[in-house]
Amino acid sequence: MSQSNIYEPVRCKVEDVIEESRTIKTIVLLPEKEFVFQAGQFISFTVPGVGEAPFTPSSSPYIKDRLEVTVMKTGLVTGAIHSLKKGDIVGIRGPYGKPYPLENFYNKEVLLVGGGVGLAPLRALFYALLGTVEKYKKIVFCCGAKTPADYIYKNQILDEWQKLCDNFPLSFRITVDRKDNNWKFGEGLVTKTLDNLDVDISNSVAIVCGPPVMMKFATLKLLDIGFKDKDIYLSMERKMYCAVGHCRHCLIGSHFVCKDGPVFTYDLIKNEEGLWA
Amino acid sequence: MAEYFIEINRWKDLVIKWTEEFDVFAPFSYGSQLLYEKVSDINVDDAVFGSVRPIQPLKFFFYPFREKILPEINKLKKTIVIGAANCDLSGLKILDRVFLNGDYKDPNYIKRRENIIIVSIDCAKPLSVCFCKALGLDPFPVDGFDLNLTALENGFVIETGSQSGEDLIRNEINRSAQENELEKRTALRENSASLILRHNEQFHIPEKIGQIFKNVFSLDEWKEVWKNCVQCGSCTNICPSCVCFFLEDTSKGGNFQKNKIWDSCLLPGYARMASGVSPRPLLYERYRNRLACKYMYMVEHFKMVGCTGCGRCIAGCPGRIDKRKVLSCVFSKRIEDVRYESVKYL
Repeated sequence: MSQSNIYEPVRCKVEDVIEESRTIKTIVLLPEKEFVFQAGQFISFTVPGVGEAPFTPSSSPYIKDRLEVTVMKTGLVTGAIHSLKKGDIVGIRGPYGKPYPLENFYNKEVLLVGGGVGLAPLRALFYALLGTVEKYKKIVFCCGAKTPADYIYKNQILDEWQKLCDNFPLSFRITVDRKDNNWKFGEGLVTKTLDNLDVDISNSVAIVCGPPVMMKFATLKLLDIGFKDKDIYLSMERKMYCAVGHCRHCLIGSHFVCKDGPVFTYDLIKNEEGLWA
Repeated sequence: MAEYFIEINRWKDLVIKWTEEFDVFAPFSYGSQLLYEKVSDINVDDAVFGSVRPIQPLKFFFYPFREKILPEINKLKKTIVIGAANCDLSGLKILDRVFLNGDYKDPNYIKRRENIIIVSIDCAKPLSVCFCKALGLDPFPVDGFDLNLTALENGFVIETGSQSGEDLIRNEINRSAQENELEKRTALRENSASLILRHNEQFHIPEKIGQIFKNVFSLDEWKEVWKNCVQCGSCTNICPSCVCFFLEDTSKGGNFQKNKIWDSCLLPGYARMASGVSPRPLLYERYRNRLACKYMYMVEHFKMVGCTGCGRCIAGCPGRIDKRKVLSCVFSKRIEDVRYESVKYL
């Protein structure tokens, strides 16, 4: 065969299934061969006989023999992913799309804004930033979820990563929409964490990922407090099949989420139809 | 490359000879329309060479409705398709740009492109739905074919467009086309072109539609013009340049298998995400999207308009929507009846 089939996935064994919340699980995969990606790029995840769906890996891009994908159960494929057991065989294709352009963030203050399962790509980005932490002036990570029980990566966000703040120019702003009695962080929508930011907005970038409605209001809030269109990086989501620019399902206007994205700066897509769907 | 002449009987003998080595498809009459069928020595006399584009675009040969894409097809019989018009060659150029684009090439499409020879034909009797001229195309091919035919009274002018075309007729043709035959060809071509122009005078399709479609995208007229659409997907299925598909997974264990199946952006589930949300929940938005894809997005992606003016989406629409009238309404900002009556030869 002259060239390999573009739809051929890499076989992976499910090493572990971590229950993050009632609706979200992280699947730990062992690819049959080394799988290299950059933060922000995505993969197409095949559950044999069921279907395929795109996800951004949530694990560190520095790790090449192991990959984590955090998935919320919403439909057919994600339902099947949630039923996976240790030892099951699945497939991944990719990586696809453009990664977060870290070099654009150098010497800047980097604001991460994530909500719910949208924290998944931001975790991969966070690991990438930590690996080159001396390049950034400051990292501020704003996290949100509906309730404390809905938080993913609880151990890391609420505990392990907090300890990093002593050694790095790093801070967290953590909130839930509705708190419970044991919650010791903030309450309110994730947009509230953008109030009274201690960042130099003229030298900052914001990276936003979350449900569409959260992305919309976070973007509007960022604009409101002075961020420029081109400094707001959005991880866009669309229905997708081929992931290689053929099937045309993922178009936002004329932009392919699979090829031109999934990360877009707001100035590129702000006028497109159904942006926040 | 070069122009030859072949008499009708010799041409038919040649086609029969091809069937020994190739699967050969040509247009046959069904009522007032043409459909491709496989040619054999039994039916070759009924084949129609030199009328109008068949109902099926070339897409049907190069990109079937449903096929296994993983693993890719391995054996493909050498095929000759006779009868495509220039609008269809233009549609194939879009398919080339999609499936052979950049780093990711569709494995089945590559194979079909290597194994299918195209014999195009000048459009002599355009249909009342044809509007290729409005999009800057002519009803006769200039490139993209292996051989091209122009039907004269007693035979065909054959033009070669590729080496495989040359190879097909080597030793089979005894003379070049003469000056008077080429003059007749020019006259026939001009006649078809002027018929199409005349028949489309009533429509207001701007010459540079690919550059100015963005100016009309947000107009309220879109909320009216779609109303006869029943979201059946006929227009996308029959379109020579509609390429959207979805993947179906039939893998067993670690043995990965996928099918590729046509999709239609008119259908409500087309862009709907697992959350249930769609960027185009309303039918008018999806109707507009199909045209925006042709006249705006494909222009940005491929530097060519995605519509070839073949008129199939007009002829095939159960809501009888005439796309030319839709475009006229939008560009003139005047709402009129957009329905078409019936398809006929001009």
